[in-house]
Amino acid sequence: MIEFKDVSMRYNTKRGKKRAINGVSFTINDGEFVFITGESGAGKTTITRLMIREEVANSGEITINGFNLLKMKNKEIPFLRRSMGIVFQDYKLIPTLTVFENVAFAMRVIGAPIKQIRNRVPYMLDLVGLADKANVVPDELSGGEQQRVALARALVNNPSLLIADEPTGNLDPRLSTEMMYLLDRINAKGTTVVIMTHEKELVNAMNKRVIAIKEGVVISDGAGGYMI
Amino acid sequence: MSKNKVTKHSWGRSMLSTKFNKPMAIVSVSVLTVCLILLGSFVLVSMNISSYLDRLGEANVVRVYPPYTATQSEVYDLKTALEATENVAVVTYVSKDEGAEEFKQSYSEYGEIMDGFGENPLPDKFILTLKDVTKTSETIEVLQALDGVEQVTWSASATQTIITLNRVLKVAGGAIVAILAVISAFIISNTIRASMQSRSLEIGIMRLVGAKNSFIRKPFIIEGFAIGVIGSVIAYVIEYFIYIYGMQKLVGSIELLKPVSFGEIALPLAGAFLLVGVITGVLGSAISVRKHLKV
Repeated sequence: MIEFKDVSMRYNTKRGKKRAINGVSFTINDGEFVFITGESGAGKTTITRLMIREEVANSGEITINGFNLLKMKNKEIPFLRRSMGIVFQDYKLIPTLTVFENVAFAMRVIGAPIKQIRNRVPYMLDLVGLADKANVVPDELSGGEQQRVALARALVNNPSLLIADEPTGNLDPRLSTEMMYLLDRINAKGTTVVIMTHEKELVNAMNKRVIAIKEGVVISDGAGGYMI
Repeated sequence: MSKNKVTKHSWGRSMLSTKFNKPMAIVSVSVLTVCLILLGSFVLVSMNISSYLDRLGEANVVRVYPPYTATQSEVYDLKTALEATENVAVVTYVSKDEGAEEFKQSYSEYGEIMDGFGENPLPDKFILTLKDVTKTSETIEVLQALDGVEQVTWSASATQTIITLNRVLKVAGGAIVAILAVISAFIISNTIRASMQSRSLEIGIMRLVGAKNSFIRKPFIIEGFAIGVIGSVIAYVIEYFIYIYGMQKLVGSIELLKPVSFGEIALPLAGAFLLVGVITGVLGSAISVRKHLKV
């Protein structure tokens, strides 16, 4: 479960303090599929960074999967991140590793046994439709395929929550739709999915709950593909 | 799915970075090697000069003369007093007869001069070697104040030269080693930092998928260690050839100079290279990776 209670965040800039989000509150229950939408600069990325504890909010309360993000110790951060998978617009794949190695990397990092990696990685690649590309390096893949590798890596440790920041930002409309259906299938298996996006058509087509942000404030929260 | 892929990956966990950044690893090793060679060469030159100065010191003897009329027992008492004097290493008694024989052997063409005297004109004497040449003047004062001492002679200019050279060597040597160490540390830390910078993607991904800081740090520390070991081994081998085929031949070609053999310094030099290399590599990595681990 994700709970934001009256969360505010300011950044220090050369021209003084700039407010990124102001009094943001929402709750996302386990198993939900939610879009957080807004134009560029609305505060979506700040919310993502707060969720993955890359930033600490100035005020309010954030609870994710039982972790209190404003009060947690630094040594607890890896355990918070293990409970979630994260996908970025720019994929963040290691270019010198193969598709298999990129996905396996996430398991190695948390100390998974080799036997488990050997079983789990092919399963994940199959799930995202890349079983035949295991030994290929990312540069040889299309944008959509690279994003699916990133998705496989985000899900390989079986997180209960998937956070995707503009996952279709670099994809054409057809690939974007495919990616959304893939995320929907993953959600159907029980994973909570939170997607930050500004793509109106995509959001409307999915008909899911939408939390709309404008200038750092939640302006609407509801089901049915509504978007500003 | 090929089985060896996984094994290769797990084996290569720490090697991943090196694989990722071979040019940077090569630069780090090269910089470390050059710095160690510079430091090592300077230390070796200093050791040779220091050994030369020590030999000069040993040759720089002090002569103590009892009165010409001193009896055997007075000469014996003086020997005991000289041996008990601080900073005196060795006391050698040369009787007047032995002195005359020495003179004849050293100056054979003037041998008849001694015969012309009839009775041996030379006094008994003691030849003293000092423990620390830099304390010559203090020791001379003590010796001159002893009972039964007629005269004390020594080469004041040679002593002064040795003292000055020793002082210069210590001050200049210390300064040069310090400057070289600072420059090395600076270059190496910058090289490792640049290398780390180019791996920020890898570190970032590790953090995002929930790696603990200790897990992220480990491969970089191992790499720093490896850079240190490889750099110091290469530097040691090059230093060996520089010393055997360069420095030792050069020093050996100068008269009076006897180069320190490589065997004498092989172990301490290897230990020092390894220690400096590993400490620099590991510390450089640890400090540089810290920046990337901050939340």
